[in-house]
Amino acid sequence: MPEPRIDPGRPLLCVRGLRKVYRMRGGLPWRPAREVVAVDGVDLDVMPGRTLGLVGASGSGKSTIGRCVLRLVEPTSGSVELGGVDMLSLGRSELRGFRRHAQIIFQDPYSSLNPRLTVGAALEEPLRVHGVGDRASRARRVRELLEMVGLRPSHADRYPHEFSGGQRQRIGIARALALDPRLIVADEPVSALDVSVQAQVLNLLARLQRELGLSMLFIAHDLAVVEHVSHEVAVLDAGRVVERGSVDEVIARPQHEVTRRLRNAIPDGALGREFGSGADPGSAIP
Amino acid sequence: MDPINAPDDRTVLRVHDLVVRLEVEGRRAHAVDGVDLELRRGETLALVGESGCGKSLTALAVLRLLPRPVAGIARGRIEYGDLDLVTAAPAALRRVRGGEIAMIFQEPMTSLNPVFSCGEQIAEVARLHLGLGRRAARDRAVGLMEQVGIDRPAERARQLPHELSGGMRQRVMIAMALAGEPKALLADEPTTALDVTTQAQILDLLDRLREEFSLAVLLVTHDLALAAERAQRVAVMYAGRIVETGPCTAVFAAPAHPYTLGLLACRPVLGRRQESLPAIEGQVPDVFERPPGCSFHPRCPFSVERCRTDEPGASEIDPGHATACFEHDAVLRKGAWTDA
Repeated sequence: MPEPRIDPGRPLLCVRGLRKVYRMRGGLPWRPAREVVAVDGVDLDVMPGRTLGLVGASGSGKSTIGRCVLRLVEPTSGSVELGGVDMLSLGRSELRGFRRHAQIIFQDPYSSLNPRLTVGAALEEPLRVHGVGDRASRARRVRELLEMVGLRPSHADRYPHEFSGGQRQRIGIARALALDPRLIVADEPVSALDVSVQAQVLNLLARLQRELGLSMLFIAHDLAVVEHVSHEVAVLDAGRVVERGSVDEVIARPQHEVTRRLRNAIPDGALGREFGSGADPGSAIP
Repeated sequence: MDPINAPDDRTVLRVHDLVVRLEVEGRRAHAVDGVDLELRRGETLALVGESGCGKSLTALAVLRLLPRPVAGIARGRIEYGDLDLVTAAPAALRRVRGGEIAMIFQEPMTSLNPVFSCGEQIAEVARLHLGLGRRAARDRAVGLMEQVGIDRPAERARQLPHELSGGMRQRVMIAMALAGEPKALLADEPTTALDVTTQAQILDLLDRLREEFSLAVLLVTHDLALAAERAQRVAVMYAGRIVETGPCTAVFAAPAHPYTLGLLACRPVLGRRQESLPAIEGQVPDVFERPPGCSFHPRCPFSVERCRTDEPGASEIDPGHATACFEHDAVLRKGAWTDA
């Protein structure tokens, strides 16, 4: 079974020339099938312990890239290496074993949890599938995971419907972390959540990434959200990377029209000041 | 929250003390609990809140479109001219609905009829509410499609909804809403299902139409920044009540309710990266399990003893700017959110 090598000086995830072409049947049976190029030759590097933000409008191919990286969707061509292991050459059973090193957090916490499994069973499932530990040690791990994401160990006996959206996303994060992966793909992890709980989940993800030294591919359409959690950013348009660099650099001096458009799409201009604890109320009263 | 509702000659629609009851599987609640709103000619009022706060039910209630028997109006008045829409006869209601007051929804695909062409659907509204003949209605539909920024409108008018992109479908919805020459437009999260860049275009369009036709617009949204950018007045809703309302300039310069302040503080702002975002702890309460007293107190760093038991009424802190918080002086003094 291949194991990823972690070399601090080399990218943990290395994507080269990634391409994904979908064949779409016509809307009506007699219309000809057409090809849609979702990802069109993308190169990406994610260094160990760093977060790469992948930002773009809907249809830009960002989610497809996230799925190709984990081979949840088979790429049409290109290469994906995780810790020096060529993911695309792995056979089925090898891939299944290897997936413990790379996990995904989905957008919609309402549809990504099995309603018939208790939270404890949902968190234990990946451990059981990968043959990790015995029953007692798995139960310990489940409690540890729940605490890690800010839930209580007693929550293990409850079902997903008993939780709010924000709590369900915490459960999704705990499940993704169960096997101690090196890479997390977070696909729009807060965009389905209430505004007032998004900050909690973003803070949690940023903290876990730091504390566990994870590499993360963080996919979002909102540049402000990406900025908050990412070190580097790649901007996508029509399946291609049109701009990349450090987050601060790209946001301060966007070079590409698409980046500028994403930046201008955020209606922040009308809110002139900060409202956090460091804000200066004196300047606020007109 | 009445101060803002001092009658104004620009008033098109007034909602007074609206209560919407909700009943699901034997559990009952007042999902909307005493809401006052006023829509004015040529102005956008943003109704801002999170899922389950009652903002969409409020908009649906205005046109008496609440899903029966699950929801219904338990109390209140909805004044449109001389008419109270709560008690209006079906015929009067039909004239107002879709004609004088139009509504657009979040997901245009589910609101358009999939088997009729876009043009036919727009023309139907014009025939119904303006009494136009077939040909005149069709011409008007094409004209409206052009007005809402659809290129090659005559060709698009013959297409079915599924042949158009999401942004184009929303434009068709807007054209349909305008077809009856309405005085008020209720827009329930009109851009949430759209891409960020398309979002801006649709909102630009709504702005332009509001000015051109002196429309009174109710913009229902979960996004406070969007409200700040697009509305003249704002009403912030939490757990069925309006907790703060006023002109956008006043509310966003000096939010007087902790919830407004928290919502403003917890969003990541571009170019202002922070170690950790100031978060509002806890969850939005379930509609059937709202806490007693002020519903926001379990999540509120400003809360004091009486917030647990007493329900704060509205107090006006500036002309037209009102808040329902016992501690609004402390909130204004501090002017910043601190984690609970």
